[in-house]
Amino acid sequence: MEKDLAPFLTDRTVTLNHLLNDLPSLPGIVRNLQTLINDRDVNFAAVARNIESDQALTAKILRLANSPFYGLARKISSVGEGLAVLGLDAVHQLILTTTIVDTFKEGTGRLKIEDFWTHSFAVGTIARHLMAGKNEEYANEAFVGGILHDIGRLLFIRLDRNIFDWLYFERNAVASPVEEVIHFGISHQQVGQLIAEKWNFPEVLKNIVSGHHGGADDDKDGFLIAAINIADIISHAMGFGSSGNLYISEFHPEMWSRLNLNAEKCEIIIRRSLEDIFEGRENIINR
Amino acid sequence: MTEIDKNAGVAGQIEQFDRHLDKVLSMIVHHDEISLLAGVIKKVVHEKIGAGQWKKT
Repeated sequence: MEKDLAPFLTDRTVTLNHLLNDLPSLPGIVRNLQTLINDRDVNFAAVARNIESDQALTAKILRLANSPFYGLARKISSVGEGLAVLGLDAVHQLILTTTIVDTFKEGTGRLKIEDFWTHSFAVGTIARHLMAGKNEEYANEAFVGGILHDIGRLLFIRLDRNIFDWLYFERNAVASPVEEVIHFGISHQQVGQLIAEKWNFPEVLKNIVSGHHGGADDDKDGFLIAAINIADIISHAMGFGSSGNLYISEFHPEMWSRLNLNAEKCEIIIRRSLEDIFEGRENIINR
Repeated sequence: MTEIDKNAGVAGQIEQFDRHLDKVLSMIVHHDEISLLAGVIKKVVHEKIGAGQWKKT
């Protein structure tokens, strides 16, 4: 039965604004890094020193850099080496991702947060493989974008976990962005965009978070959004964790065409992704 | 989340996975590409289950 939520909507929007304002600032190390990266004459040694001042973060970066995702022939043993091999943007995005995963730790009665991050991690991994071979820069961004694409839903949990469970799990109907606006006053993509702006995400990640259910234009963002849409469907189909929604993304045939997919390519991508997902998620998710 | 009962035997696990997959894909409008994708996923997962390599996620 439909709950009468109308009287609460104004309150919910106000509360959502408070929640956004109350989100912690990104740690100083991440903000410093963003400043350093924006400097055209960035000094890698200074960036490495900045990261290495945080031992836990350093350990995480090295673990991830040495994980199967990057398939590096040799072991990375220092942040400086990681920067040289992976590049500044990739390291920055990894730091941003691990920081955000550590920030959102609340689940609901219906959704374990570990399952949410497992699904997100699987989407990132599959999207990365969909992009691999086309463009390595796109592949890294697809990975991080896949992990962060549904971040807006996590603020809905903070807003009201009972409504969250009811909307996504208990009423057995599609929770479209329109339904989210009706019940939370805003869609999860819009919330995600606000989070992305508050935390100064790179532009490409902002576009993925705000546009991952939309159509895909024939440009870089379009390729990345196509990869994340198809990866989201595959992750749901294979049962990797939970997106916080029983229902899956709409399939857009033009995205399939854009990625030039066929059965043979899909099989290769799924096999490669499986190994990475089974072996690598512990590097992102603290269980 | 797919809960596959490891005690169900290979045939039972495959049946459980296929039931999950059919349910998930029934939620979206049918396209030939989705049928193709489902076939590939079944092929890979059945093989993994048969080899005892399908891990709980």
